Amino acid sequence: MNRATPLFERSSVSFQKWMALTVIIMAGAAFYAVFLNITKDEQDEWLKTHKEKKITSLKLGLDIQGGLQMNMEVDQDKMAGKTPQEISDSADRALEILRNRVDGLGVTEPVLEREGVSGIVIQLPGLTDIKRARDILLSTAQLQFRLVSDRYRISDYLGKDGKVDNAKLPSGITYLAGKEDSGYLCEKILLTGESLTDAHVETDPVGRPYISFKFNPEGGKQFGIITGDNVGRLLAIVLDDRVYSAPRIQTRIPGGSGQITGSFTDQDAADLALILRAGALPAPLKVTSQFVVGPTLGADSVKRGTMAALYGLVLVLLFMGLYYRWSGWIANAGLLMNMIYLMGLLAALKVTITLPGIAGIILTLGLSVDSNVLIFERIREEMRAGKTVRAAIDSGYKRALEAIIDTHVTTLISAAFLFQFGTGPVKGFAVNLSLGVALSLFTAVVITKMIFDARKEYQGLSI
Amino acid sequence: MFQWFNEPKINFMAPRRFFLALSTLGCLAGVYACVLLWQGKANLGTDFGAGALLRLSSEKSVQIDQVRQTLKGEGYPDAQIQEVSDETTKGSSFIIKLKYDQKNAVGSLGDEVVGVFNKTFSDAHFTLQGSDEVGPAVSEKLRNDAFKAFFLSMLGILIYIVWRFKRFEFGVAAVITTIHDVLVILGIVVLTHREFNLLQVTALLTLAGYSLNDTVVTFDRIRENMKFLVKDQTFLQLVNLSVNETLSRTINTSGTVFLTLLPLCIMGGDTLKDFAFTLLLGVVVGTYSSIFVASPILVEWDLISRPKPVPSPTGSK
Repeated sequence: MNRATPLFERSSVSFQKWMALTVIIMAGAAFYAVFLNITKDEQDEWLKTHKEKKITSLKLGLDIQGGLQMNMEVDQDKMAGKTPQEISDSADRALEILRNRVDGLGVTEPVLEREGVSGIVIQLPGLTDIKRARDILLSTAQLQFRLVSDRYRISDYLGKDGKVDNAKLPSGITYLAGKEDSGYLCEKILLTGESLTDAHVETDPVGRPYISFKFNPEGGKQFGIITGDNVGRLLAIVLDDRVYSAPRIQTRIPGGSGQITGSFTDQDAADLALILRAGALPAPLKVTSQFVVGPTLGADSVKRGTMAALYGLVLVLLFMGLYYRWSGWIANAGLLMNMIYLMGLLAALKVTITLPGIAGIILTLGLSVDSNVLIFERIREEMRAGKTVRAAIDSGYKRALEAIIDTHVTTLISAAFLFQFGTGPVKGFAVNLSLGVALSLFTAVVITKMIFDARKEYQGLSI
Repeated sequence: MFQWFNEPKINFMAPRRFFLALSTLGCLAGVYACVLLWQGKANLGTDFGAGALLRLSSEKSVQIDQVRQTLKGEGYPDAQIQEVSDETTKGSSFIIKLKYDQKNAVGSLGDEVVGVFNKTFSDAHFTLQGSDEVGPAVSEKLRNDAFKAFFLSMLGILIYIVWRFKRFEFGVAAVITTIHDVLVILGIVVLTHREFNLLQVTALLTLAGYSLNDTVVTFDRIRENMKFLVKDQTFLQLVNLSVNETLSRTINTSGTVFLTLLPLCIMGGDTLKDFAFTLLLGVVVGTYSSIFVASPILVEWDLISRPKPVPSPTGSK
């Protein structure tokens, strides 16, 4: 008799007991990881944006819970002549500023990551107001204070098309469109948003919102000098090259604070204050791809996916139970253990569950019982060849193992490359499939063998 | 003990040349599909083809023709529109595929189309249920990455196969079978105008790994039987016997995977339906090829490489 690994020899009683204990403890740990491992903080955070309590610690992907993903990069066209290092640095700074802006959006568990030299990925679960998100995140938020020229008039510089002809403008003068009116001829930049320390919304006596901001000491001092020297002139408050308002300077403004007025909605004003607080982006950002999943679509897909998984599970359980009878139910026990462990691992490793990830779990169902089919067919053959039940079981397990390993290896090879090169959802598929398939070596082979070994005497076998 | 067949004795090897010819045709279709993909003429998904996939639904039902007219009038003549059933809304649901064009910033098409629709169909209240918008730079990267993943992974699997079967001809036959499976399925997916996207590549790679399963089982049995070659048994008979012996196994291993994927293919959402369909095809083609491609190649190899028996001199008995 050649000796195979001890696991596939009949195991001793004490070994069996230890194994059984391990299996049960692992199942308990999996249950804990999926359902109980939710801290109070996480629960509170969740309840801020969700109606129902969080029941599992499984992390759901954007395609399931709905939300917005934007992949963006520093606009290379506007960074001409910069070294990759400089571009990468500005992307790093942009990420920090975006983090501040996202914090103000009130999204649960946002994800912000740098990608490559100049890329940034933002995931905002549950957020689907694309326009608002884009306005807040993509706004460069370059705040400038400029005096409006009192020497030149727009009407003198109109081209044939009725628009301002930039080429004709005197040097040092810039035409800037207004948010609500035709625009202004502005002089050079006197102060920028970098001197700002705070910005928040206030309401005037009539109930209209406006943004009140505060300068840092240096900025405040300069602002005092500028306003003192130019009483009676218009001061344009410019954000991203558009004049928000151009109030007339009534008197010198000491104390280092000011306000931006205009016809804002409450939401607009709050968002504007948010981006001013968060600071300006060092460079404009360009969206390279964007994915939106509405909450109903996400809920619908996950319902369909979960139902499909359950039907698939029931079909396989019935098939194995009917075709291989009692032995089939042993395989089914292994399969259920596989599912329990897999869920536990996914929760413990904080793997994000995506729709393709659900397909990966479903495929695991089929591949896992495959091992049992190979083993059972071998056992049947050994029994037909005249071996005793006991011997047939042992050699069935031993001889099917090689083919089982083959399936596992090739599946893992594909999964590894998919993980390496795939996007988020595909990665989810690769991770779930490889974890499930790797677990099945234990659940479909070791655990089922243990159950067979628990009985000492076999007169016959229902297979 | 329940069994599909009781010691089956089906002569699988008799029509082997017919099936080899059929499979060659299938592979040619796959090669043609590759050419179409290369030229960008296949139905590429937004992830590979730079564009927008919008899913909109309205509260009142709107005719698909009106939607088409509106989009044409607004300067989207290439829009592909598909009406989908959606239980979550009383109105209509559409999936609209647009090519990316320079005039729109990536990510703004969704809001724009919703705006256009709500102007045209003012009481229908269209909302954006979901959208994928991919700019040209990203789609190029995704294409390259998918290509790399595909080739490296195929290479990995093929090297494993060659290493796994210690006998050269077994390795070659298994490699050909795996390539056959991938090509045939690629052909079916592309030529039936199913959308070819990153998930389809994922499915192809997964089934490339999986389809080996059945071939391994049959080949292992052939090797085993070769140790006990019965006198007067030809190699063809031996292969046929091995295929018959492993038939239940082949059917059941495929059957279990088939059963799990079937519900997903029928009731999975838009994203997963096509994915599951390709995987299902993979299961069917993989089973077919282990019986009608892999084993016949071994038989033909044996017939070609075996030295022709020297004609015995006449008269001697």
